[in-house]
Order: sequence, then structure tokens, then C-alpha cells
Amino acid sequence: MSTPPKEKGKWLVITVIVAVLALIFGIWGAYTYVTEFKWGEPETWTLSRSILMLGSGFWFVVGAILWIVGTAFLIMELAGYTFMGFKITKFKIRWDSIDIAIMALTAAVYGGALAATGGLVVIPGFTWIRPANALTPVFGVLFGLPGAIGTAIGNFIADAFAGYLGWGSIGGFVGNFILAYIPYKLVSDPSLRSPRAWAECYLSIIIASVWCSAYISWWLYIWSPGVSPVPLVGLPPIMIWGWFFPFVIINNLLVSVILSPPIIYILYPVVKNWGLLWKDRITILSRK
Amino acid sequence: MPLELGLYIDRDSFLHKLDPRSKLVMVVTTIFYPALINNPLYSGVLFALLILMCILGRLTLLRFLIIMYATAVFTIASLILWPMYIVEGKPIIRIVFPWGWVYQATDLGLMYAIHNVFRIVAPVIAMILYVSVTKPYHIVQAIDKMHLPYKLGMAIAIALRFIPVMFNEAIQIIDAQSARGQELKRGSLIKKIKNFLPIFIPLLVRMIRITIVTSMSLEARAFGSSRKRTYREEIKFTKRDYLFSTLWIGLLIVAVVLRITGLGLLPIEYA
Repeated sequence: MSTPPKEKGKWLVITVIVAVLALIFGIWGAYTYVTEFKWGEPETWTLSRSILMLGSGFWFVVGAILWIVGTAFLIMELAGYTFMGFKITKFKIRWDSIDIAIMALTAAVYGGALAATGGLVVIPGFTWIRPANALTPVFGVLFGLPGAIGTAIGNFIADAFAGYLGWGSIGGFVGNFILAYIPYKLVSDPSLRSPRAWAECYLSIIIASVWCSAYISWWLYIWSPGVSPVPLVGLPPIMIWGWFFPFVIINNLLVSVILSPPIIYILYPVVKNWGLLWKDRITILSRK
Repeated sequence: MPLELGLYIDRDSFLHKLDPRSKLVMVVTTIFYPALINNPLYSGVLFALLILMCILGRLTLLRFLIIMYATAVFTIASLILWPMYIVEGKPIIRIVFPWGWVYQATDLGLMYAIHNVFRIVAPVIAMILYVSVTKPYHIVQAIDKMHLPYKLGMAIAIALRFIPVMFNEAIQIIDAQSARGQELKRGSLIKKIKNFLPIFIPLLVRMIRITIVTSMSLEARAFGSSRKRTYREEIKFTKRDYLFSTLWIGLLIVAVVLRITGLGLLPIEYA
């Protein structure tokens, strides 16, 4: 049954509002970062100031909640349970040669593209964004769980070659899983052939960007010098919430809002025709 | 960029002959050892040992320099940032820049910054060394022998095999689009990001094709037909693997002792 035109119009308006707001926030964040941010003094950046104003205690609690829920999602999915709406459902994924190949190739493309496209300079200076980050929602929406795990593996491998590898990479592994997982779960129609699906896609990108960043930041924070008795991370705690947290949100949000939905829209028929779409590859067993 | 060169280097060296699990002990040690101490004199020992491993693994100088280049941003950031936070100790550097910014560093601040450089660089060197001297096929086997899902190992091994391929594909697509007149780094910020659309679409279509071919070749080799895996070349944990693992575990124990006695710690707040 097709959506009534009134309903379509409503979702179209929501889509435009969400997309424009996300875009404005991303651009504002990137430019204020370039014009205001001074290394070693994160409070010089308006966005950092707003975040630090709430205190590291607040972010510690928020980060902890998101960390626990995010980790629970990963464990739940690996154990064969997933969310269908608000209900937990048992599902069966074959993990056959196609799923393994999807997982491996998403990891390879993500790792390879991160290295090949490198950092895109916003304004000449010490600022860059990673265009390949836009691939994570694409992998989640089109390939589902194998795509999300592939993204996590790809990020881990890319960390090793880009020089970020360390204890923080474990947080990066799950954080990147979430970055693909949230769009996978929230976008009900992967074809993006309706305004509602576009709105869901933009919303999921915003949620995933914040969640991923909070997840990794919390992980870095608890292992940072001065917080952990055995510091496994080399970043000062103030820089984690004052620089890393907002910087990762802006980085993921900006490229994903611009690139991910059109990529999903264009690639959907190809993925569907080759039989790689997650919806065609999992079996829902029961609902709890 | 190491990806241009491929990952595994087929050579006959001491490290190549070791079991992948014993080399994994080395990687894990490089993550935990610098966390237990913060004196660069001791973390420098780890760095020196890793350089020795690179020589033993017959890693090319080019690859070593590429690793150092990859970590350069973080090492420079660490050298600049940490002295701004560590105020304890004797001031030894003070530079006033023409635009008014003052950079000053104490001896302890600089020592902590150097330690952090070792902390950042060591796991990266260890990981690159690991994939350079370990066949992807052996990584799968190691994961299987550690009672982890072998399918995960398979996915990692295939990913490691295809990263250089996808990297080169991406470079070729960028070159092809540039030849058609596309300028990636021109225009406003939104335009610059949008320019990647004609790069990612063909890259992903290529990826989908490779996925299909890879899955077919896995099927042709009866992938997943039996739960018990057998291997043509079985990896074995021999005496030299025990010795090698003991060396790295011993180093970790030394770090614990240095921490407990306080010898490995600088007299600073961030201890």
C-alpha cells in the first residue's frame, strides 16, 4: 500500500529540517574549530566550552550508559538476538561464505578507503575530515550485521596503519560497530525510496555519530593518565571531552550527512540484485 | 603508505619462522608495557627491542620509515601537548612565537612527552611487524587454535589480503576521475565532500563484485562444510616460541616491578 501524499509531505518536511540542521551544525562545528580552537586550550572552541561546561562527571555518566548499552548491543547481536522495533527477537544469520566475504570486504574497503582518501583539509591548517567515514552507515543499512562488524574490523586495521593503534582501538572497534549498527537498526526501508526512510537515515546518522564518539571518548577517558591508575591512553582527560569528543562527532556527521544517503540510494538496486541485502539474508525465528 | 606495498613480506627470517601466537604476545606487551611505567629511559628499552625485532624480521628500512611517518602527527602532537600539562620539574625550553604564543617545557614534561611518543609508536611498529612477518593463512590458524571463531579469523585474513587491493582500486578511481576533469580538493567544504561521491560509488560496486567472486571461491573450497578445521601447514608452538614469549612476558613482569618500586615512574601528577 502506498503512503498517502499528506503523510509523504510530512516526512519530506521532517527530512529537510533534520538534514539542514545536521548540515548547519556540522559546518558550524568545522569552521569554529578552525577559527577558534587552540591546541592545549580546548575551552577556546565554543563547542568544547559548551561540552566542558556540563563537567566531566556528567559526560562520564552519559558515556558509561552509552558504553554499556552499546556493548550490550554487540554481544546481543553476536548471540543471535536483535531488536525489531522495541521487541527483542531471535534471528538466524548463516555466516556462510557470502556473509564472511561481506564482512571481509567491507573491512578492506573501509580500511583501504580511509588510507586512500586520507584527510580532507577543511581550511589549510591542522584540520581534516575523513571522507571514508561516510561508508559506515552505507555498510550498516545495506549489509546489516556483517557490514557493521566489517566496519569495526576495518577501523581496527586502519588504526594500525594510520598510527593510532593502541588500547583506545578496542573502544574504536565497538564505536565503529555502533556507527554502522544504529543506521542498520533505525532505517526501516534500506531502499530509501520514501521520504520517511530518508528522515530515518539522517536521524540515525546523527544518533550514531554522537553515540560512537561518546563510546570511544568514555573508553579513552577511563584509561587516561590521572583517571586510571594504569594509564593505557596517552591523551590528557580534558582533551578527550574538550577536543576528541566534539571533533569525532563533527567528522562523522558532516561527511555522512552529505554522502551516505545518496550512496545508499544509488547502490541499493545493485546490492539487492546481487542478493547481498541484509533483509534477504537473515531469518527471524521468534519474538520475545 | 604501507598499503601500496602490500602487507606480508615473504622472507626467510627468525620472526617469519615463529608461531603467530608467540608474536601476538609481543604485540600485547607493546600495549601494556608503556602503560605500567612513564619513564622514557625504560620505555626506550621497548622501542630499542622493537627495532631489533624489525632487523630480525628483515623489515625493510622503507617500511620502518613509513611507520614513523604514519605516526608523525601523533608524536609531534604529543611532544607539543604534554609539556603544556606537565608543569613539574625544571624549565628547560621557552620559545616565544611572533604571534604571542609561548611554548615552554620542563625536563619532566619533556620526558613524559617522549615516553608518550614511545607509547604511541610501539604498538604500531609491533602490529605492522606482525602482519609483515606472518602469513594471513597462519593468522587464521592462530585464531582457530586460540579457540576463537575461525570464521572471524578468515574474515580478518581476507580483509588484510584485500586492503592493498582496495587501496589501489581507490587510487585508480581517483586518478581516472581526475583524468575526466574532476578536482577533489576544489570548491567549498560541501563541494569538497560531494566530490567523493563519484569515487565511492565505483569503489563500492567493485567491492560488491569482489565479494561475489570471493564467496564463490570460498564455496569452491568447501568453506564451512565441517566444524573441524584441518590445515595443510600446521603451525606449532616450539621451544623457540616459548623462549620468545618468555622474553616478552618477562619484560612485562619487569615493568610491573618498576612500577611497584617506583623506579619506572616520573615524579609527576600523571603517574
